[in-house]
Amino acid sequence: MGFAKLAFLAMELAVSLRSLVVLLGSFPALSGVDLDIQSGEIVYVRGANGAGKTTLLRFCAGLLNFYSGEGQVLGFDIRDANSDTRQMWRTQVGYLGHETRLYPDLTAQENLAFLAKLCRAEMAALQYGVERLELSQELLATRVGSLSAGQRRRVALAGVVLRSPKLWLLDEPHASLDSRGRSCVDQLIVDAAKAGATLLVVTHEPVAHELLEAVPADLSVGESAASGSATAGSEAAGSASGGSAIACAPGSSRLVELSGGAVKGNR
Amino acid sequence: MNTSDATPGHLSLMGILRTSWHIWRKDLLIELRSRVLLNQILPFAVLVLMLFAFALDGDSTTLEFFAPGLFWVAVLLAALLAIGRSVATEQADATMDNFRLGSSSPVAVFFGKTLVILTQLLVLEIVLAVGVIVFYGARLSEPLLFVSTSVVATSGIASAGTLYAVAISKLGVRETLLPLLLMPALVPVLIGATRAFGDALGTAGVNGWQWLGLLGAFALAYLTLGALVFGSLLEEN
Repeated sequence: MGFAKLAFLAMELAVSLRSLVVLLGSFPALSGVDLDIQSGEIVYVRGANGAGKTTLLRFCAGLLNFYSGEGQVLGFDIRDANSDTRQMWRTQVGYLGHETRLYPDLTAQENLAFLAKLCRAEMAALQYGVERLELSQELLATRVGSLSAGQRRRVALAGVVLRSPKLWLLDEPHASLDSRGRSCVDQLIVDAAKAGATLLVVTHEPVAHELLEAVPADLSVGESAASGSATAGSEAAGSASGGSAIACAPGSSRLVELSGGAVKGNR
Repeated sequence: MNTSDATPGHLSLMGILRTSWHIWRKDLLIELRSRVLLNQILPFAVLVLMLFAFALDGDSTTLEFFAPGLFWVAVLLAALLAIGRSVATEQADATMDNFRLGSSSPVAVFFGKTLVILTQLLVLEIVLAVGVIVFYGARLSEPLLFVSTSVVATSGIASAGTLYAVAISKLGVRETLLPLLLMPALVPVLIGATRAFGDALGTAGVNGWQWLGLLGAFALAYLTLGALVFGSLLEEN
């Protein structure tokens, strides 16, 4: 990849949020979030229960409205209430929540085929998702209601893959998965980022060191991550949010902490 | 990326029809597997017909005279279950989000879900029609009016039911709130369909085709309203 392309990527923000406040009812689930995510970057989000991680993902998926703030997601101005714009935004997102969004009375194959039709995905994309998540023919022919939680999770992830999203929003993707499934998901995340997608991943798991390959060894995460962000690149590329912004290459990753509805660790 | 440049689904009529078809097919497949309509809703509707017969002392003259009204009350009660089931199918595992995240139009989702309920209720009405003929001794004098009334009135029930059910789907008390809100809204259908059926079964000296017009206006109004507002109803906040 040439330097020009790298510099372009460094400037291109997939997600940029300023002072974002999202209310769930009258409760401020997100209160004053500032967050920048560059295209091709993997951002792992951690935080205590109720910190607003799921709300942040659902907002980035275009599923929630906001009370105040400004910014853009995949180039779509979050203040644009036009339904067509919102729909275009959503079609470019792959969101995996706590729920699998699968019908228990349909087989895994029927569920994936239905999802593919809803988002007008090509069958090749469906097949790619099946292969990446290592879904056997036997599993595909089984009703989702009869699958284990881990198997359902893998089917749900295949449903995200088939969308070929530009922005992946994964809420605890490792939940219920065995070690093989976890490795499979980790590799999927890295490959997606290398292919140019941006990923925002909520996790309670310790993030494997190889997934944060360019992270300085002394990077502290969690509560002390307020000033910590790490990327594979090392070139400064100007200020994105009043703090330091660092150029990143596709596949670079960092950790941010969500606490009290606000992000610590943004650039 | 195959979906990134997708145009909004509602711009294409074929896109709407295709998505409605997919939703219809998916829901009927779920019904074939779960058999909720066959094993629970249908027996319940037949039971209601029989209870009316018991309550009216099995008087064949009375039952035949009131057959149109009793038929539609049974349909409305069963429709509450079918409508509730149709929306619950999309809430068990947040599958409603699939529609919001897909490139399909909310209009297509509304028509698809309405079509599912319409299909299920028409199947149910065939059984109930046999029931009123067998249990109540009703006789069919105008089959075309009978069938037309069934289709048009049921379209109104299905469209209004889908709209109300999704509107209150995020409330914790939706199961009890749905009958409370939907039943009054469906009173025009109950009156119109009963009158039209009265003519079709030869028990009422009215022009059933005029009542069919009222039912058509009701169905059209709710189908239009649903197409206009369903997108907003799908949104979370």
